[in-house]
Amino acid sequence: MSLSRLRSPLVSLLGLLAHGALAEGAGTNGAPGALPATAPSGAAAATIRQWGISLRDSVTGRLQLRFSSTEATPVASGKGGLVPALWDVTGLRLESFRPDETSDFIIESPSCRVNVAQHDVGSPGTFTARRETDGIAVNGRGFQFEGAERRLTVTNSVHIELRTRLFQPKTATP
Amino acid sequence: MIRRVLAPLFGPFLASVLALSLGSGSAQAQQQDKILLSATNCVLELEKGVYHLWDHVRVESPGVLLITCDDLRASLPQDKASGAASPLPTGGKLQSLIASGGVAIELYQPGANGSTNVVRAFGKQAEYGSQEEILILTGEPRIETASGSMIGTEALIYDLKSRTMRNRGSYRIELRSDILKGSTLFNRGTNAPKSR
Repeated sequence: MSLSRLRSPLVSLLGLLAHGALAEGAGTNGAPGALPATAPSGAAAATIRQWGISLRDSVTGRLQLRFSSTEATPVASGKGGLVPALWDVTGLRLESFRPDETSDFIIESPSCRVNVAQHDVGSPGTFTARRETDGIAVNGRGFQFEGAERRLTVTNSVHIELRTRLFQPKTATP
Repeated sequence: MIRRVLAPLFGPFLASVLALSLGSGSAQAQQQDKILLSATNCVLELEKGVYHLWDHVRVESPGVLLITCDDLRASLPQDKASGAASPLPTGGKLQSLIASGGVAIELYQPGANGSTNVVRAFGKQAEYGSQEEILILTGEPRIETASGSMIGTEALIYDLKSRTMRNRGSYRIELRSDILKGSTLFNRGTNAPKSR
């Protein structure tokens, strides 16, 4: 059996495992244990389609972050191996959750790098972020999201739309 | 006294700020519900609701207000109690705002015949706190209207609760000379004896 014929089922298997990790919410706080979190060994970096991983709090078990993307490739190190926990992904959708596990912020980026161990995402390219509950929308170029702190840093041309009033509404006096 | 003196001069300014503080259901109020922030850089603490923007900062409430400055720190904590059903969460109100470095504020309000009156305020720092509900302009603060300017030495303070303006330190008012054009103020008859 040729290498290319072997590789195709392997990629499919990894994709399935990644999808399973997303569905079951594998991984723990700070030490995700799902298969996609640990880059496969070997020089050839397989691209995984429909990659995803959910991170839960190690103590409470509650869902904190969910990464999903159309494609993910483990980052190759300079020494021919792979860098653990680092993934280059396309079509990222990162959803953060509140303590009651309702959806909070959703960040989307066409291309970025994910560190699943640190819960970080970054890219020099474009991104959008939004929160449905209060209508906050953010977009810009060059971003870094630190998942543990829920901190979003934008380094170039940020636009934020807030659905709020500058000042507290007062009741009009008769 | 200061309020009485300033009322005719800064009426448009006070009315503009008043309009901001009154969230009615009018079209203007709807516009007020949307605030656009832009800058070169920012750090957003999403959970805490703390925003820090710097370099070419713009804060715009379309048709109502425009602030430009070098650095802006805003606190807009999330209302944990408000659910997703509310289109405008009451807890999403601005808790504090500090604009610094070349602060320029433009307040727009509709004038006569469809025109727009613009009141401009300048300073090195503008600070708003929701607890006291005051807007403090410091660092060579200056407010300009079509009628003239008010220049403070220390701070110009607008109290959103009492809707009054006060100053810290001395201030001076410069009126445009043409506002007295056609005025009868200096052209009235007196009871002084006529010179022969």
